[in-house]
Amino acid sequence: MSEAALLSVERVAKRYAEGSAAAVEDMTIDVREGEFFTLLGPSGCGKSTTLRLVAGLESPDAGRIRLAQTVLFDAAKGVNVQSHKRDIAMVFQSYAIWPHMSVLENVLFPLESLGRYGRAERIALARAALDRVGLAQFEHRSSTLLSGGQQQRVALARAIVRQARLVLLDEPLSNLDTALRDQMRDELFVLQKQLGATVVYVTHDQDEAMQLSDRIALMRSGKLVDLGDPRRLYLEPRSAFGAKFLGRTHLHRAKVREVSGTGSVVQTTFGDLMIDGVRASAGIDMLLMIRPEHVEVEPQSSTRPSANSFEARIVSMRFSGRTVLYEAAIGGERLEALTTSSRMFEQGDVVRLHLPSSRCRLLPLEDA
Amino acid sequence: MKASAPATRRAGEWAAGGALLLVLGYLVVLPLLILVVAAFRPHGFPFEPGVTFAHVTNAFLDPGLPRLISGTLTFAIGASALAVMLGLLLAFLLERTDMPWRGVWRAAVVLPMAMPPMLLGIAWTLLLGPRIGVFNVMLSEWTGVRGPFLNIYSLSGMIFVEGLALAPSAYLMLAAPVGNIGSAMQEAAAMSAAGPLRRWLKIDLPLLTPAIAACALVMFVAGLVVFDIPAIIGVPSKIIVLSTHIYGLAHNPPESLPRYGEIGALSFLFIGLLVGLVALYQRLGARAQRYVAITGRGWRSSPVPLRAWKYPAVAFVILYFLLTVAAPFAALLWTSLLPYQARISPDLIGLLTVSNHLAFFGNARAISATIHSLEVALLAASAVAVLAFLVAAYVNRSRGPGRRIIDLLAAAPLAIPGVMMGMALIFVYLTFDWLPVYGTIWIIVLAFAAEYLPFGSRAMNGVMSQLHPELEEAARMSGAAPSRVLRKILLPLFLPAAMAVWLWVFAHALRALSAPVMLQGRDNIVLSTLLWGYWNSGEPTIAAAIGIWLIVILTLATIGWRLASRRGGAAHV
Ligand SMILES: Nc1ncnc2c1ncn2[C@@H]1O[C@H](COP(=O)(O)OP(=O)(O)O)[C@@H](O)[C@H]1O
Ligand SMILES: [Mg+2]
Repeated sequence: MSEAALLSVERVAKRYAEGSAAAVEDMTIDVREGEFFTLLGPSGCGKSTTLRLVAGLESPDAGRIRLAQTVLFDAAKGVNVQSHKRDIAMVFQSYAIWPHMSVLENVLFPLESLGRYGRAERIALARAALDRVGLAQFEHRSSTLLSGGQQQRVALARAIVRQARLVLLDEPLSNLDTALRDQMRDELFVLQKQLGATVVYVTHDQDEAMQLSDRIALMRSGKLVDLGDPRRLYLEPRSAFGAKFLGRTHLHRAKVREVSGTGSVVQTTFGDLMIDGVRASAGIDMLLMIRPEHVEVEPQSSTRPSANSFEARIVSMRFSGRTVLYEAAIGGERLEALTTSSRMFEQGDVVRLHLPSSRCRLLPLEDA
Repeated sequence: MKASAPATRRAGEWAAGGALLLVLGYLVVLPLLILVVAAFRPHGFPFEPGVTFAHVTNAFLDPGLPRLISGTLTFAIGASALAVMLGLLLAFLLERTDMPWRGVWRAAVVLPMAMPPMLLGIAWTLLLGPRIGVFNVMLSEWTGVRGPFLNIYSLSGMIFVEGLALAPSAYLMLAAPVGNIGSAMQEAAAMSAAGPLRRWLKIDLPLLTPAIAACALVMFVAGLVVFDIPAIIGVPSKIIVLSTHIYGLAHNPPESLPRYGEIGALSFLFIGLLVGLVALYQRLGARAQRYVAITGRGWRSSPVPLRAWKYPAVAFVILYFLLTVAAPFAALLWTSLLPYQARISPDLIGLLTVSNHLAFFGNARAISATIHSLEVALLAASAVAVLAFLVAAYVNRSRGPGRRIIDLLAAAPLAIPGVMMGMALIFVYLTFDWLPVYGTIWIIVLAFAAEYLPFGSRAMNGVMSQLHPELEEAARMSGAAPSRVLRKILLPLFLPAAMAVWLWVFAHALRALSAPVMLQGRDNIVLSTLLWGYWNSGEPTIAAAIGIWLIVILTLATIGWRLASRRGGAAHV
């Protein structure tokens, strides 16, 4: 457990019903003060459950949860602080705006519940929170008359107004349409930085996770499978699952031929490849991973003699303005390449594909 | 800051579950248990010594039993089928078509709820009775057929009136599902080149099947246990169903001692029925909810154009109101204004007098019956609203023990005839006489609390399942303690639904006859039993006058109920 951790979740497990699969198993994460921490994974992998365990809305079967100096849950010691006594705010997927209260009353509710400040000060704080989310002029609006985006903002205001140590957000953008989602995501990013809030965020959208997060915990079937900053998770995944979940990728079987100090050579069906920094022993089968946007497409004429460079024919191209997605054939193998539209090739063109050794990764075979 | 939440929460849930089980056991299980015990006692008194199987063999080897059961089933099936057809057609016309004056019809559609079935029965004997029935007279004159043209005193007559009496409830159960089929599904079907009729048959009806089946089941059970219309129409014409048979066993046995033991034995039938039906209904209910969840809250689909069909449609709706409200009310009003019973005819206008109405206000028995009625209705409505809320909250929101059984017990009285519940309560309070409620209005309140709990808990369950649990969780995550969540979030959100339940029970407790007629003594006469007494002792004009005033009170309660359920979105009965 690191000293700087504000929230620490240690070996927490949760099973909803006897005999069913564990919703969360052996979960251990540390969230630092001021960090934007994201739980990412496919639907049903246990993200919401993890969040609800931290919130105290569900009780873990095992493990320990600590927020700053306070032990919130400890199975061994029988400690379990009730939700309303935890210094944690939460934004729900459905927003959960109370329909019988006005916008301002919704935002005042946490301050009244906590019994903090006098009435005038509460109102000032609630107004400030509404102002922060751009709803200043809506305070007397009935909350039943709000659009989805506005409800989202009320939910956010309600979470930040109480200035909790930790804010939990469960897929807050998933109910918004695409344009609004992009806008709200940017606003959320700015808001978190301005407030310096510590956030645990749940999403199944990898783009959202990478754009917002300082660190991401990748989950699968109730277990933590990877943890790191977005760049590391995207560029250097630890598993085929992680590689595919974070973005479009190729996975090809490859055999490690030789290993040297700087890298290694692997054998694939389309030829031998140099790969940087491999920790594998020669002779074993692995998966070669390369993302389409890292495959460089060059004219056939530029016969730059280099390793990792193969002659290929364009089988199809898909133009989408900013980018072009090619499908290219190297012998019998197909490879995708995603480039900008600054230089374009046509179907049937013969080109050279370059697979940069720094962007090729080797992954273990087992869960392909 | 440290609190051992699991332990305290556990304990709280166990206590709540235990308390609810105790209350429901007292209200529902104890009476049934005592009936069962009574079936095996020599004189049918639960706590006398001795065991006998004579009552069981008497009741079940009675050669009249097969006819009794088949008559009851025919009545229940016929009446429920008529009610569901009327309700479905009304729901379709008012919720889904461009029928003229839809707003007016929708507002008026609950008016029949203000007509007590007992009065509907009385009114139809006035309209279709063999000698003075005004419709019979008119029809005979037109067609030249002599003698009664239609006879209300028949099984089909009973089915017809009971079908009319149940139709408003069928409409209320079906209006929401029929109206809520999402526009997305409709549009998808339209884009698959399906015409309106094909869409209705291929998309709407299959989607509605669970809702229709659930509605038909509830109507069928209501038909099995109902007392008032079989008593008003069936008994004079010797058409006996189970409920009137039970009443007969208690009140007019051939050898003058009430045959309590046989009533106890017959309770097996209903307990058996109950077990089967509750299981089936819960299944259907769960399925219906799944469908509702799928359709979600889409926009309303554009109305189906009726074109030339709008004339028959309007004619149908007008006929519906004529048969359920206007004609019965007119017949009652006419009768209430006569000095003696006579047919409806312009020749008799000179006879009309308000003396029956004046007598009603001058009659001390009538005044005390009115007060009793209001007291009973008020207490029963409050008890049901509170208990139903607690049951729904416990069943849907807690993780305490016994949630399923509590849910089942709250639904169980649905299949118990009011007369049988009344009988059971007589046993209970004659036996446990340390609680002196026998012969008071309190025993009627207890009967109603049990009888209407299924409705209340179902309505509350409906609202509870529509309220996202995150609304409460958001409050807890705002630092609100459980009591504050209950006070500030759950209660306000439930108030409209609770109001609607309260008013519904209030109205039904005012109009119901079955339990009060079993439980009546000198000091607990209510309006319905008073009216029944005058009707049976051959004073229909006084009965009609009382009926008119009962309808006035009920109309106010019904309008209030409609307004409350609109606000609460809890119109699905
Ligand atoms: N209240 C519950 N009761 C039973 N099972 C649940 C409950 N909530 C979630 N689950 C199950 O636990 C698993 C994890 O669910 P969840 O944490 O909601 O996943 P995610 O948020 O990642 O989509 C799923 O298999 C889900 O079906
Ligand atoms: Mg989730």
